[in-house]
Amino acid sequence: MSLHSTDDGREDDVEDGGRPEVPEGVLRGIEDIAEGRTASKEDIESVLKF
Amino acid sequence: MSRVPLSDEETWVIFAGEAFEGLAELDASGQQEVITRLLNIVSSDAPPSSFVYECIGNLDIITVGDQGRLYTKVVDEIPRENTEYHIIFLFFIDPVHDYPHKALAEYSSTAEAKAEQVTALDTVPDVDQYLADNDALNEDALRDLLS
Repeated sequence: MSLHSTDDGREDDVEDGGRPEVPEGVLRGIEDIAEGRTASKEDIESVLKF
Repeated sequence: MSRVPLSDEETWVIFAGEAFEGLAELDASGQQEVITRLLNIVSSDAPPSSFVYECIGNLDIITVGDQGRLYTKVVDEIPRENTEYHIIFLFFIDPVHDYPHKALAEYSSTAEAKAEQVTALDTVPDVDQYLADNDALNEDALRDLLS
């Protein structure tokens, strides 16, 4: 499955040696781990809706 | 009630702040789906890498529900004495697997190297302390969240 849409002409980026694309949030998540911004069990409990 | 593991392997999950914010935005059923999926993985006898649906660079993508994707880096088998730890670094929760271009970014070689660096645990002297410092969740913690 490709992350690229099929109508913008960029779907061949990876095959052409380009870099893949990911949701921007992935990069923020990596930065979070690097900076030690992690969520605890208590943090998660505080936002659960069930 | 605490469960007695069948082996000496343990899988832990570390939620990045971004993944936490994504979880907070989901509705109740979406949240349950994500946590249940993670619980199923950490409670399995199979290593977490066996649940990876696809890879993008060094990212490990795990499906959740019909359309969701968990963007992770799975680190299998961290040796420490006689115990093997597996860690799932959860970077981002994508509930719909829908990618408007404005929300996409190139996964640059720099970003890929950073993901590798921040999940490399070779030099961590005390894995238990590392897990505590990074708010890692184990099977019991995930089960508690669902109870």
